[in-house]
Amino acid sequence: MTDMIAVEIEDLNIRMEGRNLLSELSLKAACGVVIAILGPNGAGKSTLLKAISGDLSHQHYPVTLFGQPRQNWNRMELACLVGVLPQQTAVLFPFRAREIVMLGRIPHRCSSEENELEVELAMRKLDVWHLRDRLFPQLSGGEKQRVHFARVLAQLGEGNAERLLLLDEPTSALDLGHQHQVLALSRKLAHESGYAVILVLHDLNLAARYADRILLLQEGRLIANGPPGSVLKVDSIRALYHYEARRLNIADLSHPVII
Amino acid sequence: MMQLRANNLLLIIMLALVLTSLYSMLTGPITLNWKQLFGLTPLDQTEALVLTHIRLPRTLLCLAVGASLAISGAAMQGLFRNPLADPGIIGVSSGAAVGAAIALVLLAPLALSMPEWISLGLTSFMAFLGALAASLVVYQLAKTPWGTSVSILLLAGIAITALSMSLLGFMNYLADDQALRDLTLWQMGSLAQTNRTLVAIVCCCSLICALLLYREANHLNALALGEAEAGHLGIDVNPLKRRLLLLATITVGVSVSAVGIIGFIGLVVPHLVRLLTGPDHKTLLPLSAIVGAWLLLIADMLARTLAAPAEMPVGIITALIGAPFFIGLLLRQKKGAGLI
Repeated sequence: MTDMIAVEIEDLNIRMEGRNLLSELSLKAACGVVIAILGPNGAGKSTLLKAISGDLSHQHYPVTLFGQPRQNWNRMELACLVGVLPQQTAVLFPFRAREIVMLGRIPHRCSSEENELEVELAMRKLDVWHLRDRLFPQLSGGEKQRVHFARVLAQLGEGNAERLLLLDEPTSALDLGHQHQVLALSRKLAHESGYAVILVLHDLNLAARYADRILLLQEGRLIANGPPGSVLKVDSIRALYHYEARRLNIADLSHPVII
Repeated sequence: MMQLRANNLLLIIMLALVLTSLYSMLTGPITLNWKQLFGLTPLDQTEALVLTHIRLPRTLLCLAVGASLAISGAAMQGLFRNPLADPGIIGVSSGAAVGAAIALVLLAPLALSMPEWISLGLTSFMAFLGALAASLVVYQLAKTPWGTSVSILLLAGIAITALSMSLLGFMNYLADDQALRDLTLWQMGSLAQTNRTLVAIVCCCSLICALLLYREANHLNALALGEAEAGHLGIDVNPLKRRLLLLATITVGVSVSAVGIIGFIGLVVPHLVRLLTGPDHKTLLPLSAIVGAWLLLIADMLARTLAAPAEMPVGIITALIGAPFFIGLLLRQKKGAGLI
């Protein structure tokens, strides 16, 4: 594990059409750590992710990636380090699943054998290798999501290195087994390969189980930032979601369970 | 496996293209034979003139225009992420038509007093100016602080086309009988172009633009995921969109100004190629260019032989073949084959 800081944000304010989407937000994300962003609808979770991934690039925001301000990075170099999985990606033309994953290799100048290998590795990790010759538009929602995840992994490449993985609700279309598989993979990439993983989730229990740190967002403000056990409290859940939760501590689990 | 299939197909269609090109140079009111074409049997003066001044420029023009329309159609469908996009979508064709109309209706009396080299190319030149003006307006309308908005681009293209059509109607109203006939024929497209400078310009433009478009093949693949995703893959999307628009405007603008409006090649050919070898732009773009050139060549041969010695506008033929084909595509789509 390294101490490399993948993302550093200082006093980020984003206003659009008179609304404050994010206010005075500061954040540090180190490599080797999984950070989950939680919050009610419209709290600014996706906006935060977009500010990091550069989707709001018509303006320079105070976002530093791997020690350099985002705008100073060469795009192709950065694309080899930062992978983004959006909530939904519509693909217009009938590409095959393998071709979609191959698109992740665009930033790399590698031989085609090397690219083929990375694509196969990534597709096997996401359990979609058997879908490689299927037409993408004919896959189910969950299969599409996993193929896109494989594309992002192929983009970051194999090997232990500092990488940043941004996932916007990566489990939204997945069945129970694949939800856990995808999140366990994300955790493994952080802890074993040294990736910094930042993901937006809605399921508090998935976040509690797989994240090292949880950020709570409310109306564009960061109201809590810490390990799951200290952040997921009954009163903060009430404040965020207007929901009376019960928090259980189960003896053989290291994280709380919210019901 | 796919790659191999695409390569084989490329070879077969290339071969067909070469044979068709040679055959098209033999057919016409004066029939030549193979031996004459390769210089084994001597040509008389008329035959030589027909070959070098009429058939050769016409065949080259056909190839260049067919390739240009099809490859820019494929690029526009990729850029707009819209399978119904064709090269005319950014207002190029209708702008060119207005330019040509101004030349044919308003400037025709003036052209009589101009030197021959100006009056010959005047319609083409005005058509190109019109194409350029229309696409510039469309592009300016679609510019936002966040970059070029593709949906506004589409809508602006429709608006400018509507405006051009009304201007064109006005020109029709002003035109005398001869100008009206010239204008109508121009709009249906004709490859009977003997101005060899013009043919050379069109060939060079389409070759250069096709090569430049081919260099963007990977970027067009990434655009199929969406603009944001292409950005995440390290592609600077806004300059890419500008380059693609500029290249398409120039290729289509030059083609349309030389031959008039030829429909359906740009729309149908990329779909046909996608059906055969899939949507990867690395194979789609070159194959579209070749298939487009080939189809236009065949359409032009039909146009000049079906009603010989008269000549039909080639646009009638391409629409006649293209429209039923497109309807067939739609029916397939309805059955859920999911090709688009």
